[in-house]
Amino acid sequence: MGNAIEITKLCKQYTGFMLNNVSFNVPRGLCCGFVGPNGAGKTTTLKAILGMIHKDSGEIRVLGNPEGDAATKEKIGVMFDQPYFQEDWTPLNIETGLKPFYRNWDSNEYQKYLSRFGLDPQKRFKDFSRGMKMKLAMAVNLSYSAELLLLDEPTGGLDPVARDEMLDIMREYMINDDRTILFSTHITSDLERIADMIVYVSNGIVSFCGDKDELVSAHCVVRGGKLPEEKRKFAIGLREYSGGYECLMKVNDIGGLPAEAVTERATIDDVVVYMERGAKNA
Amino acid sequence: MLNMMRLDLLGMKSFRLNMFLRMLIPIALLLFSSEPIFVILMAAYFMQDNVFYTFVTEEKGQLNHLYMTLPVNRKIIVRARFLLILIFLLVGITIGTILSIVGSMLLYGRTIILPHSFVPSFNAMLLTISVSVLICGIVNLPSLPILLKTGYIRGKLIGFYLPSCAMAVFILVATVLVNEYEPFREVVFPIVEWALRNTLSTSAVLLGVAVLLFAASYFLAQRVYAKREF
Repeated sequence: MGNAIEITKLCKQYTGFMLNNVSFNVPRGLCCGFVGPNGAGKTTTLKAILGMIHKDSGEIRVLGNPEGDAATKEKIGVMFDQPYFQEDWTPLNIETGLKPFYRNWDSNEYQKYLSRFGLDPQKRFKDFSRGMKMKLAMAVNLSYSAELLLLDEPTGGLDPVARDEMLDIMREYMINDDRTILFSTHITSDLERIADMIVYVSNGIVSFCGDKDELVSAHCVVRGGKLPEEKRKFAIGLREYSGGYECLMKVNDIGGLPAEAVTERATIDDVVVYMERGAKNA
Repeated sequence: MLNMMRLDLLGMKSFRLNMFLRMLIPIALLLFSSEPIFVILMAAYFMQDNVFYTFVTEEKGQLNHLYMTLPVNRKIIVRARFLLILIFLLVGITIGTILSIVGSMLLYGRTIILPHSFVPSFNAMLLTISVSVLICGIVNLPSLPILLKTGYIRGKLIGFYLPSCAMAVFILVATVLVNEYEPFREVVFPIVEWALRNTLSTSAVLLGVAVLLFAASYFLAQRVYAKREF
């Protein structure tokens, strides 16, 4: 089905930070989790995809077109860590303002989502809770049948119930095979529940891009008394304490560990936590 | 572009009362000044000035981020903003002209520029309108490119307050001098009289300069906004 997003050797330099040859593809029809520590470059990459910032070099193609292409944006739904609506706008105002931009806008669908999410059409945006605000943004995105959703921390700051509802909305959106989601998150349980693939970025570099299960099955958690010197270079996010050590290691690299070392199957949580620790220690 | 303009106007929703209150200033001028024709200038200026609320709301609700997600290119965003200014300017001139005529007839029955006429003549109004458009063109030349480049929060001092204050002071001083300072009148009135005798050509030149200023501002704004990062 081709790729919804193709990023090749994307570079963007800021003072003290750089996106360094970021390359990854998100195939159509998949839900891709975009993970990495704070300041790793997730939001910068999302902004580059939308043409909100200008890349220094590299290539970005979104739904087959260059980034920032106005016509392509008609097929993209966007939600940053908070929806960008005026505080005094009501859901009806939002429809009035945004509907003319989208040929596919379906007012009935919008009303349906407002009703389903329990959003009062006359209530001002500022009077909604954070969870409601996020749902309103999703209602907007779903009302014009966006083919691609770019979501920056869609579940961040939500209580467990609201987070669960947001994930349900995302899951429901993905029922249609043509639809794609790229969402950044810090919440690894979200990845477990909804992501098909994962792109892990750290310090502006993509460390991993691939199938979620592949990522998990390729790593294991290793614990033991003393890590041999020759194996230290393979240890990811190594933590040493008085009684021993623990780290993440690629399954291919565990050969040669002492017999006392214990290996356990890694979870997504383990992989992300150890990778982030590794990035911090680097 | 009209959709973008409509969205800009919707963004200004919380400032509608302010916009209305600002129009009370020309009305106050009408009531307390002996020169109702200046109402045209004030109304035009204060009305076009309302466009700066779009910059305020843009950053307050981060609407500029919303704009970047919409299926419009950056050129349209700038073009819509300029069209909005021109519409505001036109509305301000219309309101000012009506206020000026009605005020002259009802409140004073005289004007200083044309003491024998009960309402400002067509020539006087055309000239005042041309001057109003020119003044707006001068103010907008630095304002819009600066605000579109930096946003309201960073650019409000040099992009809004400074040009607005400079122009307000200029208008105030000119008004006071015309009303109170005889030597100034002796210098200015012959020029005004000459301009009134040659209204069409003077207005054409003033409007031509204003158009050039707006055009320069527009192309500058397009350039800086194309490079802006959000």
